[in-house]
Amino acid sequence: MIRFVRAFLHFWADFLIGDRPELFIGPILALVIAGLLVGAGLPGALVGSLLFGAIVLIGAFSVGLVARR
Amino acid sequence: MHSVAVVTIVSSFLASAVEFVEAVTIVLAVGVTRQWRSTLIGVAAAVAALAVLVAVFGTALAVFVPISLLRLVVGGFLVIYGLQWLTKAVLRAAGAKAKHDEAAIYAAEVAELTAEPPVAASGMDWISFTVAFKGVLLEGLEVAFIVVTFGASANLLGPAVIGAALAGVLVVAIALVVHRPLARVPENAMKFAVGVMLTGFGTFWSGEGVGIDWPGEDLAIVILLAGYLGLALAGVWIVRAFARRPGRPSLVAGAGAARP
Repeated sequence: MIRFVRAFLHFWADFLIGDRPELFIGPILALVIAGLLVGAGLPGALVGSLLFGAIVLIGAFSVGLVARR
Repeated sequence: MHSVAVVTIVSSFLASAVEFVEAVTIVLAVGVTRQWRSTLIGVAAAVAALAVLVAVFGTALAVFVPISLLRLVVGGFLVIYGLQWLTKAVLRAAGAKAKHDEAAIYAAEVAELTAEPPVAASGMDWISFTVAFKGVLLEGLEVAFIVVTFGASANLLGPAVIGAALAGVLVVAIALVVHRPLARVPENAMKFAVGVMLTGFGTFWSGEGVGIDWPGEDLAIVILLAGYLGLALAGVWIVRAFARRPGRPSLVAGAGAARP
């Protein structure tokens, strides 16, 4: 049973995170911050633009990491 | 037809076609090297398992989970998954990562299967069954993930399934005709397009999930898609220029494995 759970978790970790953890953690952090900014009353257009910018930066950072290797 | 339904069908079709091409390579290698009967039983078992997964999880997500929560969680997953596809496609288009080579994967698979014990004269060949089942299930899970998440978020599970089914029929039909790995499919361009779509829709839905009131409503999706496409193309150009700097070894020479 433990082996099955471990294999199941390993499969999903590999599926969603793989060798690029920045692409998993980054968008989650960006969404948490976007939620906080919406809660603070910032306009949707501004928060939406910031979310888009953050996701572009995360992607660019990840591409940069691989390209530098 | 509603434009979001069309985009859902196209996204599902392209993503599924890429994965079906990879699954067909494995199935062809097993069938040609070992035994077609056991291979096809393995494929049928995997397809049945995937159909159950899509029906159960797709319905459960659409029926039991509130749409705002669904869009937050599933939209977030789409951004994560879309970014993975898009960044890999950018790196491959720029030559910083080796492109997926179906012919090479097929040759490696055949070599591996040839080294296995010979096929029994009669009855089931469990090696054929297992390799085909595992290959189709693993590649199909990616399809199922996209179909269920994309379909459920847009409340368009039907069009998402139609897109995937069309891709499956087309890829299998071509494979039956040519009877060899589909090495000439523009896989990276398809992954590029799907990456843009998943990231764009994922951003829109997860943004709605955290409470963003997008200006222009659905028009914001078009702007997001255009923005990601333009910046991804710029990314290809920048990485390529980076590779050409004096004193920098060729990025292609240092490219990673052929598999994603």
